Amino acid sequence: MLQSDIELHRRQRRKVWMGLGAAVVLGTVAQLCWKAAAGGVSADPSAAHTLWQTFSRPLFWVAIALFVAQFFNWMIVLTHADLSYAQPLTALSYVTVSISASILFSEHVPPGVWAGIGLILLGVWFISRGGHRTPPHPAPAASAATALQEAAL
Amino acid sequence: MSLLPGLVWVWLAMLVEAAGQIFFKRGADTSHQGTHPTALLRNAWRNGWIVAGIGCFGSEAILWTLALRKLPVSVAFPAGSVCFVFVALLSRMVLRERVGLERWIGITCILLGVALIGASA
Repeated sequence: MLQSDIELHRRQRRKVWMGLGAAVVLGTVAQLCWKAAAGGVSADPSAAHTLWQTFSRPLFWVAIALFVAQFFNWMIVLTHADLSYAQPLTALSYVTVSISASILFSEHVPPGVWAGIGLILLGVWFISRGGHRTPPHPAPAASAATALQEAAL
Repeated sequence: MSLLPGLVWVWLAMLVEAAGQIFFKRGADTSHQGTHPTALLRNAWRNGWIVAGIGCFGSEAILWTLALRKLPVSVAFPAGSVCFVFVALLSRMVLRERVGLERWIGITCILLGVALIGASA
């Protein structure tokens, strides 16, 4: 691989990880807003009343705006990375949601959850070791040329 | 009470979500406006793949709500992580992505981690 190719690959990878970081932060804040907006809605037998109560909360609309932002960020990530690379890495939001919920809502984090968080981080580490993008399939003529080149080497 | 009917709803919801992700990836690959956010915003509604993806996420929300009426969250939440497997399989079969050993090991660790969180929370 040429030096400039390696540099380009590094720059793309950095862009993918910045997008994934944004996806995890947006997803976490959206979920926490959602939880805060839904919490405290009185258990009313009428579904319409429950919906109305939820819609009239500003936090609900903040969560909706965050979901829309998340969608556009996700589309940008997908232009740079494989789906089978980027999608499992969003599991990091399980980690950030558990930890921030334990801080914000003073929830106790049982040891099993910590172990689960450790396993998710291990999984993310494994996936990040591999390439972030499947190389495009070479055209038949190009692949024949590559085969010749390899044979010559 | 058997959990199976509820689990079928969860798996159906996750299959629809995985399909939505495949549509989004196709949409991202077929939109030639680059990554400029305003161009993306302007063109998203004209890209059939992206519209199909949004439709999938809407249907998934309904299926997920139906699943939660039959299952406790502590079962539905870890069962939902099957989505990672569906996405990996569909990425390989439909998008022809190379899903190597590192990705499969990573996905397995994540599944176990989510199951542990579901079992302990």
